[in-house]
Amino acid sequence: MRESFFRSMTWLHTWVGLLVCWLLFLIFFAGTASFFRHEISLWAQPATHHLPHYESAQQNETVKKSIERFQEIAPNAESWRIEMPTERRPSLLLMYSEKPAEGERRGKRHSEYLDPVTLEALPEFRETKGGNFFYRLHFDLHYMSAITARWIVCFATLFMLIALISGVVIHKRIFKDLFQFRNGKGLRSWLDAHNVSSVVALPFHIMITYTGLVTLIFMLLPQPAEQRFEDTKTLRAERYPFLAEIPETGQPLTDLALNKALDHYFTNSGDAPLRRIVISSPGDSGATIKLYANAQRAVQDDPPSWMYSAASGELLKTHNVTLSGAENLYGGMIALHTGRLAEPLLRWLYFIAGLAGCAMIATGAVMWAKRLRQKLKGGDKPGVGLRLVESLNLGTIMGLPAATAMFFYANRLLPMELSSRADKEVLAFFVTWGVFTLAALFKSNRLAWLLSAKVNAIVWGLLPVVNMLTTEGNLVSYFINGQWVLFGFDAIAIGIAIGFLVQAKKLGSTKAAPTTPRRQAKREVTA
Amino acid sequence: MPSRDNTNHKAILYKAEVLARFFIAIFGGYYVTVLASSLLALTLPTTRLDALLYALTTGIVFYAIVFIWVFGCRSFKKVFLGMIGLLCILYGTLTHFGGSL
Repeated sequence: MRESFFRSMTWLHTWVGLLVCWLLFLIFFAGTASFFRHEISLWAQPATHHLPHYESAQQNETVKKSIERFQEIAPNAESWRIEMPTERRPSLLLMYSEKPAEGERRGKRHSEYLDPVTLEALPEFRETKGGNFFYRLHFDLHYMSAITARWIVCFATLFMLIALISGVVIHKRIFKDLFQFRNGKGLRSWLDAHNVSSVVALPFHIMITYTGLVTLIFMLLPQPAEQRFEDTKTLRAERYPFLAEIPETGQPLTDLALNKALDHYFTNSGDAPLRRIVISSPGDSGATIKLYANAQRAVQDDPPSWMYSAASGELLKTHNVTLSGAENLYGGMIALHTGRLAEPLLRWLYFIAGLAGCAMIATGAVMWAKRLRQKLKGGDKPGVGLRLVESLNLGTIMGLPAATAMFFYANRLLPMELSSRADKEVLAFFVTWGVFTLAALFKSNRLAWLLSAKVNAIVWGLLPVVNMLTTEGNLVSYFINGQWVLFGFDAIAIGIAIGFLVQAKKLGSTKAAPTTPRRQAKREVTA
Repeated sequence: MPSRDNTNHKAILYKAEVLARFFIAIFGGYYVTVLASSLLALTLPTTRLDALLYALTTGIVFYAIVFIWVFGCRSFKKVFLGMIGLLCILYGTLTHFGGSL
C-alpha cells in the first residue's frame, strides 16, 4: 500500500490470516483427523475389530454370496449396491433402495454391515458417525445447510491461500528461518515456532489449500461451465456417462449374467480389486451391472469403472478407464487433497503435515494476541477486541482437542440402544467445545491455559483406559494380535496426552510466569 | 507539524482505503477469476469438458495474483482504475468470443 511492497505484504499476511484463523483451525484440525477417517471409523465400531484381514482373492465368492442375499431379501429393489471390504474398512456393506413411492423422487434406502466371509450380520453394531463426522465437519461444518457452510469454507480457504502467498513473500530468509528456533524467548519463540511449522510443510500447505478449492470449484465458479454447456444436466451427463438412465424393458430378468461381466472385468482391469458393484433395476431385463475398480495407489479420485448389460453380460460403457490430460489434472488434484491413495507411511506424513498446519495457525493466532498485549502501556486495560481474540484462541485451540476426546468417550460410553445415538456423540463434541469457549470468555489468562492443558492431558490419557474397560481389546492385546490401527489410535491418544503434559509443565514453570511486582516482593520476603 | 484534526482525518481516510481495497480484492478478484476462467473454458482448443477442467483447475491462480496486486500496489487510484479496466477488457473479450455472464 503506501509503504513498501514488503511492508504491505506483512500487513496483508497478518490480517487475512487473522480474520479467519479460528475457522481455519477448525477446518485444518478436522481435515487432519479425516486423513485417518476409516481408521477412526474402525475404532468407533468395535463390532468390526475382530474381522480378519480380507483377501481380495475371495472377491468373486463374496460378490456371488451378496447377490444371493439380495435376491432373497430385496428382489424388487430399485438398485443393489455392494461396497467391498478394503484394507481400511474390513466389513462388507450391502445397500439397496426400494422403488420410489408415488410422488417421491427416491425410494427408502437400507444398508447393512456384514462379515464378508460368512455374510452374517455383525453383532452389537453401534450407531456412530465415526471418522465421517470429522470428514463432514471439515467442509460442511455442522448445524447449517451444507451449501452455506461450503461457501464459508471456500471464503476462508481463499484467505488461507492469500495468507500463504504473502507469508512466502515476507519470508525473505526462508531457509535461515527454518533452522532458527530460539526457545524460551517469549514472542520470538512463538514467531520461530510459527515459521518452522509453516516452512517445514509449506509445499503441503499450498497443495492442500489449492486442491481444497479445486474440490469445491464447480460450486465456487459455476460460470465457466455455462459458457459451453447448455445446462448442468448436459455437463453431468458428459462428466458421468453412467448417469444416463437405461430404460426398463418391463420384461423380467431370467438370468443375471454376472459371471461374464466379472470375467471381462478381471481380464481387463489389470488386477485391480473391486471396490463397488451397483446393479440397477435388478428385476428387469434392462438391468445394468456397474463394476468400480479400487484405484489403489493411482493418483485418481474417481475410480475406473465398467458398465455391463445384466441380461447378456456385454460391456456397454466404460468411465475413467482412460483419462485425458485435463481429467488427469483435475482428478489428480482431488486425489492429492483427499489422500485416499496414500499407503500407511504416506498417510502418516499427511497427518503430520496437517498437524504442522494446525500449529502454524495456532501459533500465528497466539502471536497476534501477544503482540497486542505487548503494545499495551503499563496501566492500560486490554480492550474488548484483545480479550475476545485471547478467549477465542483459548476456546478453539484447547477446546477442539478436548471436544474430540469427548466425542470418542461418547462413542464408548453412551448406551447402545439410545435413540439417534450418533447425533448424541456429535452433541458431546459441540457441548465440550462450547463449554471451553464460554469458560475462555470468562477467563483466558495463563492459568486458564494451564488448566485447559491439564484437562486435555487427562481426557486423552484416560481414553485408552476407558477403551480397555468398555471393549475387549487393549493396548497390549492390540500389539500382540497385530491390530495396528487400534494400537495406533491408543498410541496417538497417549502421545497427545504427553504433549499436553509437556505444555502444562512449560506453562506452569515459574521462569516463564510473568513476575508482577507483588509476587516479586513476596519472593524477596521468602528468600 | 500537522494538527491533531488533520492526523485524525488521515487515519480515517487510511481505514477507508483499507476497507475499499478488501472490497476490490475480494469481489474484483472473484470477477476477474470468473471472467478469465470463463474465457479459457470458451477458447481452449480441446474438447469442451477438457477445456472446462483446465479452466477450473487453473482459475484460482488469477484470484491469488489479483489479491496480492491489490494490496501490493502503492497507488490506490491505480488499483481502482486498473481493476475497472481489467474487468472491462476481460468482459469485452469474453463477449467477443460469444460468451455471456
